[in-house]
Amino acid sequence: MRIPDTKENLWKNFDEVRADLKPKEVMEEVSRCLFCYDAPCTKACPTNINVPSFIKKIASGNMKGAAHVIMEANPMGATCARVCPTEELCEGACVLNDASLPIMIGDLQRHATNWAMKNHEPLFQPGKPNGKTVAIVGSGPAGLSAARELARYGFKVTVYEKKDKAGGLDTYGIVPFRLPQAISLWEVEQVESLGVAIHTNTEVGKDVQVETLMNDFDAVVLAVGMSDVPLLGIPGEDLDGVHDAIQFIEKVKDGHLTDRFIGKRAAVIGAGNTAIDAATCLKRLGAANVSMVYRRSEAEMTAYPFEYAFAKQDGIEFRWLTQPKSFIDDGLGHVARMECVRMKLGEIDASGRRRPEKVKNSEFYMDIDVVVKATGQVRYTSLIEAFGLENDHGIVKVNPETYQTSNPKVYAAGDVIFGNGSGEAMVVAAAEQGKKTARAIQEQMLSRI
Amino acid sequence: MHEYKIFLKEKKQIDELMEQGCQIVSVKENLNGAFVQFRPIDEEALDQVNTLRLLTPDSRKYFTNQLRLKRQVKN
Amino acid sequence: MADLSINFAGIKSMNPFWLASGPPTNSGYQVQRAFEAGWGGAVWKTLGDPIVNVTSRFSALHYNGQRVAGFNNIELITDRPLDVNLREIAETKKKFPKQVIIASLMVEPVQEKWHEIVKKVEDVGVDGLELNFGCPHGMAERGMGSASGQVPELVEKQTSWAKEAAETPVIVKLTPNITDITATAYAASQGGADAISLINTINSLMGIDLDTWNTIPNVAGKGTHGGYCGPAVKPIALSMVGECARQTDSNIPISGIGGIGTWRDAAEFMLMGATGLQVCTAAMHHGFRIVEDMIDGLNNYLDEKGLASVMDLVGRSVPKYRDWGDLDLNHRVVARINQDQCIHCNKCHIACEDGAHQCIEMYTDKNGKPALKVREEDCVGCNLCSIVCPVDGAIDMIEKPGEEPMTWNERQALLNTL
Ligand SMILES: Cc1cc2nc3c(=O)[nH]c(=O)nc-3n(C[C@H](O)[C@H](O)[C@H](O)COP(=O)(O)OP(=O)(O)OC[C@H]3O[C@@H](n4cnc5c(N)ncnc54)[C@H](O)[C@@H]3O)c2cc1C
Ligand SMILES: Cc1cc2nc3c(=O)[nH]c(=O)nc-3n(C[C@H](O)[C@H](O)[C@H](O)COP(=O)(O)O)c2cc1C
Ligand code: SF4
Repeated sequence: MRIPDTKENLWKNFDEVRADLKPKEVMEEVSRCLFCYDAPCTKACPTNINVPSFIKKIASGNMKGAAHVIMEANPMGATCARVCPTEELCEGACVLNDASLPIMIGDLQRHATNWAMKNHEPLFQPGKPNGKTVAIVGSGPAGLSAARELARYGFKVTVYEKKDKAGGLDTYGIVPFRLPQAISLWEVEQVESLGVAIHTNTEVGKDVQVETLMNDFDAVVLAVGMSDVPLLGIPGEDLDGVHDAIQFIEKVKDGHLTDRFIGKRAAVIGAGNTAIDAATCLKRLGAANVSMVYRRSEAEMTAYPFEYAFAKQDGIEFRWLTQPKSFIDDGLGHVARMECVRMKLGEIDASGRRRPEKVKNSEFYMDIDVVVKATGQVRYTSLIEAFGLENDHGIVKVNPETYQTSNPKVYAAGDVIFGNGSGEAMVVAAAEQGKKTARAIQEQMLSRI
Repeated sequence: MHEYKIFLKEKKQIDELMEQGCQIVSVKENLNGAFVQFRPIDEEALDQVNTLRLLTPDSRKYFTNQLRLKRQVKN
Repeated sequence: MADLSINFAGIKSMNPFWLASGPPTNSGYQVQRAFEAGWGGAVWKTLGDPIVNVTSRFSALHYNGQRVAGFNNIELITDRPLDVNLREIAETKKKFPKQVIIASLMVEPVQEKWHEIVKKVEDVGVDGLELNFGCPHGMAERGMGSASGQVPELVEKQTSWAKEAAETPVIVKLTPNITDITATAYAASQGGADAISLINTINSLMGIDLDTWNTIPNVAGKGTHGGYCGPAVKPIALSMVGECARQTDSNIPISGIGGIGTWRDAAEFMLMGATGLQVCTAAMHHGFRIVEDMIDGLNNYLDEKGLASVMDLVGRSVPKYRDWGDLDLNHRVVARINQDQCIHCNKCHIACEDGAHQCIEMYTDKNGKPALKVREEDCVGCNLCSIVCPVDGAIDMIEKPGEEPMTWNERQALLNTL
């Protein structure tokens, strides 16, 4: 990364950080794969991609076959090749961890899916129409994955998406230097090519009514994900210069780069993966310094180790055991300072981590021009209520086998059912849930015939 | 596959015949295995011939080892 | 420092490493560079009536990302006039009097032709002659190379013709494209050969281009079989050297050729009866500099084994190379998996399950971890599991006490007494 000084050279900072493997690297890497039997990498992948199979196909020069194996198991296979925490998944399970170095599975998956993107070979066909219709609310990985599988089963699928483009957080949320938007849009195209109708700029609950869906379709899949960052509930949150991380990243991802942040002092509130993404974006937009402000300590942060390492490499500073108390105005309605309080760790709380407690009389001030809040995401509770679905603080309850909600006609998958303690919010998990939801719908509809 | 179990069965048959005082008098090996003829050493029971068909390679080794052992004892 | 010098059929060489006749010995420039790099000798690119070559000429087998596991060529003998070669041989010999130069020869099976060429090359001071009865392509269609090398009578006859004129030792280079190489080895010695060298290249077609359906390599859309060499042919060459070495009716010196690339290969060929060694593909792949480690490694190996001279290696494994009927049927090994080394790729399980005797079981140990175990009583000790295992030391083949040794020949003799 270089420090940008003009808007023109900002762009370069948003190129993909990790380069494609070179052809020779690919051949060396595929040759290293042991072609394990009952392979642990496959078991570690939430979508169970047959990793040894696609790697051997690359080795034999059967690129279409390799891409097919990946995309068959995971409709977001190209995105996942770039954004999956592979150290925690397939690569973490590779038996070569114990013998030498794990196979670069993510990079090989990227190589195979790059081939598919370049060669425009259709990988899948729609199924024979079965006369049934399904409406899907939300076109993120969960919705798209369900849509593709349903289309392959022969359902007539309609997807409603409130944004301008489909793809959910793959299109709008994951920073472009890790996932260019074009990758996500290619995956959207793959789904559309199976005859799935995607209505963008159409918000369910506003542009289309919940009752309409319930009446017009044989089944509904709710895959709306999560919403914006919650309010901190402290004074000054509405000042100019105080941003929501999801909205902030969305602008960057959609190509609205601005030179407003060049030379600015920024603070990011939170220390999860989204917070790190916001911080590294700020740095790439030219912020002079970026501090991550977190009320717990390094040990409790939820970001992946490789994300944390990436942030440090980008020169992000960390303020542990610090909590913002208020944002203070420069007299013109713009944030100028942040009042903070120091914290210490107390007893273990409900999340299994030590509870942060304020240290008395430890208030201090930080001079800042920009604040980005990244303390989680709120739920689309009112929409969930409009569907009349049982939920726990906006987390929709489902049957873990069938993804059916309390209303048997409505299924839910992805971040909308992601709750505390049930794994990670990941693209790959959303994709798998979408796949399983489609299978459940297929099985239940067939059993009714 | 548990070929070892078949071997154990065949070995038992060989051992039993040997214990009963039989000796190997002829061996025919063909496409269907080894056909080993046992006959009692006891003069009176000379017409009591027992032929074992041995299927496993381990048995084919085993009876030759037993045959050699008997020869060594004799000499 | 052990003594690496050899005496090969009367030819003294500072080390056993010679370049085999081929592209690396095509010219004086190359051979001189090779001698500077440390090669003890060179067999000059085969001399004969200058030919015309085609392009392209080479192709290789790349295996799993590894370049040149095997190498194939359709090149013929030298394409330069004899007098040019002879001048360069003389010049090289003058600059490097201690290094060995052998002239490789190929002419039509006519007595006068052999007499003529032998005299010409000996006049410029070569240390020995090698008769090329081996090239499997091109020259064979003209009745030379392997066409004569496959007929024992022709080998014997031509060897004797060369011997009639020769004053230096005559080495006969054998073709492997024959069912029993000891037949031609015997014919060579009957013809008076002082030594044999083997193997020349093996008939091969490297591949087919799946887009054009042309052969690989192709010459304007047509191809022909070539000669195979390089690492892939080493086991074939080694067995042929062994077969010749263990013939009790002849102890003709052997120059081992075929897939030699390191000092380890060299030591193996010597243990299997080769006194001298020749290298072609490895030098083409990596350059003459590979001889440095061949010399260094062999030296260290000899020191480690406490051997004063490389000649002490020659033939030490030959008595161990026997007919199948001499092997002990009662010898028994079984596979054992070392749990602490195992990385759980399950390759051994699927290999034994599908390709051997179904006796490696996958199970979950008491800590809930996946594990593998050999059912020893059903293991036939075939080695397959330890061959496919990617981790050295994770599978050992353990010797089990058994009955006293009995070979197949002994068994049949015993049964015949019934
Ligand atoms: C900043 C950030 C970085 C991330 N990085 C990674 C990463 O590196 N790796 C990883 O695996 N995961 C990452 N994630 C998590 C991952 O993006 C999510 O888990 C995943 O996208 C969830 O998929 P989904 O389909 O459930 O929801 P979403 O992707 O959120 O899609 C939901 C879609 O529904 C639409 N929608 C919402 N309401 C309505 C409505 N009423 N009508 C119509 N449409 C509606 C939304 O506009 C959106 O398009 C990241 C998340 C964030 C926020
Ligand atoms: C261990 C082993 C045993 C073999 N046994 C036989 C055999 O009994 N009969 C036979 O016709 N070929 C036998 N073959 C040869 C194979 O059928 C085949 O011709 C040879 O392995 C070449 O093919 P491949 O190298 O492509 O596998 C055997 C090969 C191997 C490796
Ligand atoms: S040695 Fe052969 S038979 Fe024995 S366990 Fe290994 S693969 Fe199976």
